[in-house]
Amino acid sequence: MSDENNDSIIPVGEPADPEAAVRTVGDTMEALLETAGVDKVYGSPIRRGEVTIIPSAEVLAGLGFGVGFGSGESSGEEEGASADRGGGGGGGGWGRTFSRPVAVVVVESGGVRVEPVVDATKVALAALTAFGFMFTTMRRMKNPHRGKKADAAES
Amino acid sequence: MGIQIENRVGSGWEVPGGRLIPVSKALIIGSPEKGMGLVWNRPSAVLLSTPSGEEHLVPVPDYTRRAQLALLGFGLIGALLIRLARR
Repeated sequence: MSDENNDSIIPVGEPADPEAAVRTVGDTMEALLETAGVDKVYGSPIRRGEVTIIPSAEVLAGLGFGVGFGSGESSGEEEGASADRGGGGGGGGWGRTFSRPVAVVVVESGGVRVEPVVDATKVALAALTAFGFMFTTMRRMKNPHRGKKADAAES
Repeated sequence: MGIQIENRVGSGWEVPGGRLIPVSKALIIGSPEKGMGLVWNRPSAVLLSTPSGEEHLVPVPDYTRRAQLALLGFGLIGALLIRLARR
């Protein structure tokens, strides 16, 4: 093995390069900020004869991360003990991207119009939540002591 | 912690009747030193620029979001009215 190869080996106990971690974090943040570009919410135009359509979508991207490094050295004060060195580092992160179609832009010879895309599942879930909330409130108002009675019966 | 709301305009496409320019609105919350970031980007409008120089702004409505917010408001107001009516 050559000396050059030996130089590239990280000795045990040496902390990893913090600069590399910072670079990775910077690159990830740049990639996240690219999500704010207008090209991320509008698709490429699709032409069919006289009609051109352009899909559009909402994009939500988020991430969180953290890195840490540390090193230490024992004093070796005890008789016969040698000074030890140690170090370590770690990092972790999380990221998620959501996308939802919003509308389709239709270009015809007559002009431009926007056809909305309605997500029926999301609307139905919101309706169920709203009616569930109202129903629960109504039940509580009808029997205000229901929960207290049950607690008393249990005790 | 930085919070920004930006309107972004794309280069656009040549379409029959002129040039169509997409416009989007982005909410950017970023803090590299705290290790977090969030981008919420949504289409807001398209601008049709005709060869004669006229410009037509066509908004891109988000009916799903509007319906969700309306139902949320309906649920909250409905629950409040039920409480008031039964007092």
